[in-house]
Amino acid sequence: MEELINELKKEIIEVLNLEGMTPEDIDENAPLFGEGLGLDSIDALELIVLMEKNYGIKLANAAEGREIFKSVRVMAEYVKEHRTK
Amino acid sequence: MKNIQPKILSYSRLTNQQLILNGETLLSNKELSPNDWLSNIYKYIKMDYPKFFKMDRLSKAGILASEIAMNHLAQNSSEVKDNWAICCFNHAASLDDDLAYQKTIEPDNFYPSPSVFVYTLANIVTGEIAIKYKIKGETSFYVSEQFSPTLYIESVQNIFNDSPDIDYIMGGWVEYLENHCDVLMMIVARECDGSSLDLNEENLKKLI
Repeated sequence: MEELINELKKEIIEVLNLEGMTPEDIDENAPLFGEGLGLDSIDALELIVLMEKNYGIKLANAAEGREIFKSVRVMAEYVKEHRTK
Repeated sequence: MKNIQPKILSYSRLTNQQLILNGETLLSNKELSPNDWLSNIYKYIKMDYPKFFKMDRLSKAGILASEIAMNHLAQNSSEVKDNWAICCFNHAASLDDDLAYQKTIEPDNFYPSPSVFVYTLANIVTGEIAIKYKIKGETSFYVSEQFSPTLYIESVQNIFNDSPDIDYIMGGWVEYLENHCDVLMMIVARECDGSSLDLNEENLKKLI
């Protein structure tokens, strides 16, 4: 799980252009939106693309994303359970 | 139409090789990649605007050039500017982003990127500048074959004549295509005392 969390952190930094940020800077238990990393709605869409492109997970609706993107750890747990690649 | 003589209060010039403020070279570049060059300028001017890193390169170039011209005037960037407008031109529109977006929608690799898509309009750069400096007047973006001093002066005159509340216009030429950067960003005043440059064809030809 820790390996997957680290992998996700690196991918998030890359696809969301979080300049100057390292995986160590991201608290895997902190909220991704609002406080925490302070991501916006376009970032949410980019994370949905990341899930499909890298892990073969298609999210059907925004409400589902809201639950899954609570934190990097929640994301990792969902990926572990649902990934198809 | 009222005949006014606008003045250039400040201007910046940004290419892959140079960053110039009011005729003075601030930075030169020989080795850095176009992306690293823009990031280097961001650090050089000590800008603190994390959203910068999420922008497309056209907006990055436009924002950096605006920041440099604005800093020179010691304007408070967080103050609402009801009497400012924006007017920019370029040739390639948003083609740099259109090409990047196209790569995300190839039939065998179809993952459309939302963050690239939102920049596939040329006038997004004027919106980014308006947001950054809280410019509330009209924003306009035109596409032309090349920078035309005649057309630019006419556009500025039209804004000042049509909008009596506008006293300043940020704008000029903002081009970014396939690693080629070419920006001339000016702050033009409806009127001003002192030794500022006249906004005329002769001066614009020298600046570009």
